[in-house]
Amino acid sequence: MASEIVELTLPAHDPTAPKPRGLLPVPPEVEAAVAEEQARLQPYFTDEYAKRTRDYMTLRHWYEGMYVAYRYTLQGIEVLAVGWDEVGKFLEETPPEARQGVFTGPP
Amino acid sequence: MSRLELPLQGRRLRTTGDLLLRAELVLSLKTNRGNWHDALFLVDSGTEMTTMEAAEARRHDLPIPRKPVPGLNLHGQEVRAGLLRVRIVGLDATEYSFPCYFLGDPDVPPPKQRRNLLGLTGVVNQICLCFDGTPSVGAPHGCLIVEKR
Repeated sequence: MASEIVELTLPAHDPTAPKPRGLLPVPPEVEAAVAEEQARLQPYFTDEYAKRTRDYMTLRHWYEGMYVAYRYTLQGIEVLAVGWDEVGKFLEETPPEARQGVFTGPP
Repeated sequence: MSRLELPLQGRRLRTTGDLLLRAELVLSLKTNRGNWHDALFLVDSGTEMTTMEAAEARRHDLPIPRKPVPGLNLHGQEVRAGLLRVRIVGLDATEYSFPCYFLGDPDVPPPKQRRNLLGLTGVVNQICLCFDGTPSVGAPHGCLIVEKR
């Protein structure tokens, strides 16, 4: 089994923290971390890689370890369903063409 | 294309400030109906056998064996030894069969959702997987290189 570091201080692990749906807001700390890395790692850290990292860290910030259906969009990361049952319902009710680019599982 | 370079994905821990890296690969999996379902796999050179939750496989209509292997257990879960028919997204249209252990009861939601792992057995004899930490434009922490053999 792959080792995986879990950050229990993230809102993802706080059951009382509200979890946003749809297009996820980027937490300021994620934005700051990405900006810092991008400045440090020029010219390698491109805008495209920055977006990818921002999306990835944002998803983990809100949903690390949780079972979700999500997709990457031009605007950011979009969460479509949360939890085993809700994701199952989403998959059943959504036609295959609308499920293109949707991943399921824990981020 | 018979070679694929995928940037290693980094994330910064808020607790320590450490940068952690991972290599992910999107596999297109062939379903019972001959359709294709894209799934994310963590590429893990420390994993002997590719694994996926049996319930997740069933959910996406992937072919899995009816019966678990007697006496075989991983993380306390029963194991179904099967195959994944896959294409590697971003590579050419070659279809591969990777051995896979499907974990747990396919009819019961997994108590703890585990991520899909791409292991070595039956994979590295078909494709070459290489981790290269050399930074390049668009890949500041290096790449996972996937090559067709």
